[in-house]
Amino acid sequence: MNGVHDMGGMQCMGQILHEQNEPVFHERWEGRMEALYRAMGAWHKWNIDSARYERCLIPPAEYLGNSYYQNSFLQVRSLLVKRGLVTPEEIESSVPAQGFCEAFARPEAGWRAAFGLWWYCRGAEGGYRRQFQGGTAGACA
Amino acid sequence: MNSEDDLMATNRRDFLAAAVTTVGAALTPGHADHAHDHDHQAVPSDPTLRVKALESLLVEKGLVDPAALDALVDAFEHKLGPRNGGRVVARAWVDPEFKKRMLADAGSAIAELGFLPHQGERIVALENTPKIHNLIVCTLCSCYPWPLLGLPPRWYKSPSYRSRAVIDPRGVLLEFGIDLPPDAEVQVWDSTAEVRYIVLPERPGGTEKLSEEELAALVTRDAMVGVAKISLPHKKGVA
Repeated sequence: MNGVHDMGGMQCMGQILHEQNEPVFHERWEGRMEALYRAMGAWHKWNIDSARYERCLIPPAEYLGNSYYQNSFLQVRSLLVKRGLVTPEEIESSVPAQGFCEAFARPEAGWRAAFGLWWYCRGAEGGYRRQFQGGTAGACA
Repeated sequence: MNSEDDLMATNRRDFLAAAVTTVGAALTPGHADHAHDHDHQAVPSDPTLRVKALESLLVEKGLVDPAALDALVDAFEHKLGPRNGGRVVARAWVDPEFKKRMLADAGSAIAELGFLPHQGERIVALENTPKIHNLIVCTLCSCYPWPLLGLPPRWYKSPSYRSRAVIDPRGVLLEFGIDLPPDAEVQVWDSTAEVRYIVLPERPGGTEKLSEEELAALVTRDAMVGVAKISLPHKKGVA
């Protein structure tokens, strides 16, 4: 896929701003955003390629005008809706839909778990997990 | 695709509207129009509100545990990072056999030190010499050798670095303070999701007596990206 993200060799993108002693995150929300993205990956609803693809769908003017983590926000929000983990209405209102199925994500052991290696949701045999796999998150059957 | 774009645009507007409302509510009545000499630190920025709203929705749905987010942020800030890469580089400097393994198959070599790939990526080590200078970039986004360097710095992800590193690497290096002799070759490596690179910088002279640990402390993130050389902090007394 070509697009504005494919920047190698483009010109006039300005000066490189090399910052001394740069913090890992410049603002608290950036860290929360990155963590949300990684943690939600644990549901295995996307892989690195499909997630990247979603980022490349951000309209060029917006992509260029946004900071890296602002684009992450748009990317993740779009992934969540398209994969059925949240509904557009829930995104709009920021509250779960009436009668939604509650999932149970929890880390097994420390930070490594949060990379999605050892996560599970409760009720894998017959409950919540099937709801999410069926792409019907947000409403109990 | 169109309907999804519309959806995104609608939601974005609504989020902004909600954010504006929330900011409005956060202001004390009458406060906005008084003459004042202090910052409104208490009013959160728009992205802060939007990310917070998304987080709370996911938490309420049981899709994410806030403690896991805390653990992740802590890992990004304190556990991952260039000090891991520094250990690997120092080991390669003091142990020629390890260096050979590192250059042949970096993934297996770094696993000896306990560093594993995070996203199934392959890691390739590139050795800088007086004649060859390696520089890494991800022109498409932000791919980077996570297990060894942590999250990439902002400039690495910026359009200016991504665009220029491949068309004007010498100019970029000069901006970072590296003036390469004309007979030195620059090799630029464009990272992908599958293959990530790390530069094995040249060991500076005068470090023969340093321990592996002391050497590791000299290695900088920028040197492992290829935009810096490693120098001794205090040349006096070491050489």
